[in-house]
Amino acid sequence: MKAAMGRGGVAALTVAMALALGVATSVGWAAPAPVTLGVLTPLSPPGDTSAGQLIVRGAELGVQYINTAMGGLFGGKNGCTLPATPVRLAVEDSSGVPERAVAGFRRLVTEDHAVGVFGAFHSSAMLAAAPLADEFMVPYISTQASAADITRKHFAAVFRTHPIDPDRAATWLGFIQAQGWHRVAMLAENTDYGIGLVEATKALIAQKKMNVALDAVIFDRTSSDLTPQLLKFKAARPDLLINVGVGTPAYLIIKQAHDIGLFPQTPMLGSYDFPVRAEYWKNLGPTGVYLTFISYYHPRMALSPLGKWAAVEYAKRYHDTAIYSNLNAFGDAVILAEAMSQACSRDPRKVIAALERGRFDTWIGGGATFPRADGVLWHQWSPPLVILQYTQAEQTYDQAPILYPPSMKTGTYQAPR
Amino acid sequence: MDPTLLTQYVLAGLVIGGIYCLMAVGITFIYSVMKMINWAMGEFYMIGGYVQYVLITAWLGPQRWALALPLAVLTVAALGMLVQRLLLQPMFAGQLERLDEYATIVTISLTVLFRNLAVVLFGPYQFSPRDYAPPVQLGPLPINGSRVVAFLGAAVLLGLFALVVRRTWLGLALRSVAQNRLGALAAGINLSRIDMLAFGIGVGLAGAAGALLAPVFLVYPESGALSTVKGFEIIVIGGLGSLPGSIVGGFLLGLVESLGSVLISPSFRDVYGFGLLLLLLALRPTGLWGEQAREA
Amino acid sequence: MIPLGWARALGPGMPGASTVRAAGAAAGLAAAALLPFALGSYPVHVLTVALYYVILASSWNLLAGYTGLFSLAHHALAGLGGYTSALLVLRAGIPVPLGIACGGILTYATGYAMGALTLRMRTLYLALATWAFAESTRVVISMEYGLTRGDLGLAVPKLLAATSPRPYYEVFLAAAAATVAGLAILLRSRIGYRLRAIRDDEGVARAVGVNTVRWKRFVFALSSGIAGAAGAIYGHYIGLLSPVGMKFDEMALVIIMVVLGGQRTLAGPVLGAAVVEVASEALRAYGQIRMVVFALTVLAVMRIYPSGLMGIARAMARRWLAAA
Repeated sequence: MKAAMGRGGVAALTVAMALALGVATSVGWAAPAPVTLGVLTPLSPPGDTSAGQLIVRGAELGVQYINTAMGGLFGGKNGCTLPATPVRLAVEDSSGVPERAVAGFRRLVTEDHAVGVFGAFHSSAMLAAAPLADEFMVPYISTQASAADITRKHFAAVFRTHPIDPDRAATWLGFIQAQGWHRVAMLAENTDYGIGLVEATKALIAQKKMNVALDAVIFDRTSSDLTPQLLKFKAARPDLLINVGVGTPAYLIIKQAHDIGLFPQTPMLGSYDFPVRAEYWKNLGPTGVYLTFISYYHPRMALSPLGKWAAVEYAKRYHDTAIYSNLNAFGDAVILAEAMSQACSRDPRKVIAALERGRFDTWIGGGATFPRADGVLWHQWSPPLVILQYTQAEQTYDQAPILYPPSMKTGTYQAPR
Repeated sequence: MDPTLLTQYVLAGLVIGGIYCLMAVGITFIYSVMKMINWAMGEFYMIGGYVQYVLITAWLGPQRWALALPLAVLTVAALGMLVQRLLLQPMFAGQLERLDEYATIVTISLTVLFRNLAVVLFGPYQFSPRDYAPPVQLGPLPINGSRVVAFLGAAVLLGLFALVVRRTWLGLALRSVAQNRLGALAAGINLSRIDMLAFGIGVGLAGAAGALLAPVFLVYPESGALSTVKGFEIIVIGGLGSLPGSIVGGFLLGLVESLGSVLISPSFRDVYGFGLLLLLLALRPTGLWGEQAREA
Repeated sequence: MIPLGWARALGPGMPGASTVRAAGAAAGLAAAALLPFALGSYPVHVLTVALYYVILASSWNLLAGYTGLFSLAHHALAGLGGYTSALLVLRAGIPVPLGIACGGILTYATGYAMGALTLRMRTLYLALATWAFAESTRVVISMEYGLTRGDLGLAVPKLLAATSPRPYYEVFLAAAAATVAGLAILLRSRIGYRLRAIRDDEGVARAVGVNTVRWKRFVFALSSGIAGAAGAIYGHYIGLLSPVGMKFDEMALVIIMVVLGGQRTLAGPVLGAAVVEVASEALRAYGQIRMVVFALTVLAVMRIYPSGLMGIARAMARRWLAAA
C-alpha cells in the first residue's frame, strides 16, 4: 500500500510532464510567413468579459483592414522592398488577473511570436505583464487600461492610446466650472479605476486651486445595495454626483439614486461610456433619462477615413454600431501595422523605435504620437473626450447633445421638470 | 445627527433586512431538516432571477410579473429537487462517511457549475426587468416599488411557510425529521421524499428572493454572491437551524449595515456584517438563537 | 485509501517499500527539475503556477483531508502571506527571503489563532467561520487601498533578478517537494496517526489520550503557514499582488484540485493541481465551458468515485498487478 503511494507520486509527475509536453508541442509550431499581432484581453471572469469581446471584435476588424484595404504590410509601400506580408491575430485571455496576464503575454511572445500586443482593459493585469514587454522588447499598447502607473513608470516598450485619469478629471472639472457648480460628490468603486479617478480629481482641484468641494466615497465593487451611501449624498445636496462604477455598479447607482429621489433632481455624470452600450435602456428604461456621461466618441466628432471604414465594416460584420472599445482596438492594430511599415521591419525593437518617432493615422483625426514625454505623458496619446446627456428615453447616443467641451457644444444641461 | 436622516437610515435598513430574511430562511430550513449547508444557495437565487427575467421578457410581458413569480419559484424548486435526487440523496444512503464534507464539496462545485453555465448561456451581461411598482413614500424615505413588493412578498412567503410548517401534516413530518431522523423513520415517514421536498422548498425560497429582487439588484452570473454572503452572515448571527433567529438576524444585519454606514464610514459597509459575525462566533458560537452545537 | 486500523497504524512501516518509494520520488524529482530545459518559457510558467497550486492543495489536504478541519480560508491565507511579505519588503526594506519567512510566520500565527477560535466548532460552523474570515480579509485588503493599492495591485519586488520563469520553477519545485516530503514524514509519524484519529472520531481520540486541542491548533497553524509562505513566493514571482486572488473562486479551485486528485492521499493533490492548472491553460480558448466541465467532473467523482484520480489509478494498478 505504501509503495503504491510512492509509485503514485511518480505517476503523478509523469502525467504532469506528459501534459506539459503536450501543451508545448501543440502550440509550438506557428507558420512563419504572416506577422502576428497579439491581443491580451479579459475573456473570462473575474475580468470584464463584455469589454474583452468588444476589443477582440475591433482587433479582428483591424486585421481585416490591414490585409485588405492596406494590402498587407510592406510590399513596396514607403519604399520598403520586403515582400507584402499578411497579418494574423493571436488572442489570449487575461481574465483580468495579474498571473493570467503574465502567462498570456509569455504565450503570445514566445509561442505565437507576436510582434506587438494590445487589448489591455484591467490595469492590474497590464501592470503585471508590462515588465515582460520590456524584457522581450515587444511593444505593448494599452487599449483601455487607464491607471497612471502604466505610463508613469516609463517602460521602454509600453504605450497607451486611452485617456488617463487626469484627462477625465480635467474634462469633468472643466464641465463643472462651466456649469458654475461647486459641491461635487463622487461615488467610486474600490478598483484601480475608481480610486485612481478620485485621486486624480483631488489632485487637479488642489493644483488649480479650484473652488470645488469634493466629497468622495469609495464602495466595495461586490456590494449590491448602495442606498446608505446615496442617502448620505442626498442629505448633503451636492451640485453633481459623479458615478464611478464599472458595469453592474454603474447601473445600480443610477437605479438606487433614482429610487431615493436623488437622481435626476441632482445631476449625475457617468465616468465612462457605458450608456452607449445596448443594455443601457433595456436595464434602466425611463430611469436613465437626464444622465450625463463621458464618451470618447460622438458622430459629430470628425472620424478619420480609417474610422469611417471601421464604422461601416463593423456594422456590416456584426450588425451593430461600433463603439469606442471596438474603434480603439481597431486603431491599435492599425497603429502597429503602420509602425511596422514605417520601420520596414517586423523586428519588435524597430517597431518600438518607430512608434516613438512617427505619427500614426487612427480612427479619429489628428494622428497619434507617442513621444518620450515627462511623467504620465510618456508614450501616451489620449483620444478626445466629450460629455453627452440623454434628454429622452430610448435616445441613441448619436442623438444626444454634446454639453462639453465648448468647442463642440450642441446643447445645454437639461434639468428634469 | 439629523433625526430625519437617521429615520431614513433605520427605515432603509429595515426594508433591506426584510429582504435579507428571505435569503436566510431557505438556508436555515435546509439545514434544520437535512443537517447540511447549501453553499449553492446564491446560485439558486441567481437562477430564480434569470427565470423571472426570461419569463417576463420572452413570454408574459412586464405587466404580468406576478404571474411569472410562482412559475420561477416552481422551476427553481424542481431544479433543486432534481439536484437533491441526483447528488445529495446518496449522502443518506449510508455508505458515505463525513456527510458535512460531502455536502460542502458537492454544493461548492455546484456554485462553480451554475455560475459558469450562466456565463455560457447568457453571457456576462446584466439584465433587469422593469420595476414591479412605482416608488412609495414611507415617512421621510422614498422607496423603490420593487423593494416594497419584495418586502411584502418576503412577508407573505415567510407567513405561508410558517403556516405550512406549523399547521399541516407535511409540516409535522418536516419538523419530526428535523428533530430526530431515526425516530421519524421509525414512525413511518419516507425520509428520502421529505429530504427532497425540504431541499426543493428551501431553494425555492432562494429562487423567490431572486425573482422578487431581479429589478432591484439586476440579474447577472455572479448576482448570487450577495444572497450567499448575507444569508450566511444572518444564519450565523441568528443561529443555525433557528427560523426566528434568521428573521431577527436579517433585520439586525440590515440595521447594522445601514447605521454603520452613517455613523462610522459608508466605505466599509460590507465589513460590518462580517465583524458582527466573527464577534458572535467568538463570543457565542451558537448564534443568538442557535441549538446547542455538539462538539465534533 | 490509507489503512486506518489502529493496530496497523501503530506498527512500523515496511523498510523495503519505503526504499523503493524514496528512490522513485528522487527519480521523479530529478526528471521534474530537468523539465524546464526541454520547454519554452510559457509552458514553464504554467508549470510554475501549477507547483504553487500543488503546495496550496497539499497543505489544504493536510488540514481538511487528514485532520477533518474543513477550512475555507486557505486562499485568503496565501494572499495574506503575500501582502505581508510584500509590504514588509516595500516599507521596512527587509530582504525578500526574510519577507517570505515573515509572511509564513504571520499566517502561522493567524492559523494558530483561527484553530484556537474554532476549536469547539463542528465542521459546518468551522467552514462558515473560516469563509467569513476569508471574505472580510479580502474586502479589507481591497478597501485599504492607501496601504495595499486595492484592485490596482501592489507592485512587488522580485525574488530573483531573473525574469525568466525557469529559476522560479526550480524554487517552486523545491518548495513543493519539501512540502510533500514534510507532509509524508509528518503523516507517518505518531502525529499523523493522532491527526487521523481526530478526524475519525474526536471523542474517541480524546478518550485514548490524544490532546485534540493542541494538535488541531498545530495543524491549522502549520498548513496556514505553508499557504502563507507559498503565497509570498508567488507574489514575489508574479511581481503584482491583487485581491482577485482572494476571491472564493480560488478556494473552490483548490477544493476541485484536491477532490479530483484524491483526498487523503499524498499524490492526489499533486496530480489534481497539475491536471487542473495545465488543462485549464490548454483549454483557455474554450472559455467558461471548461469550468463547467471541471465542476461536472468533480460532481461525478464525488458521486461515483470519491477517492478521486488516485483511487482510480490505484484500482487500475491493482487490477494490472493481479493480472500479471
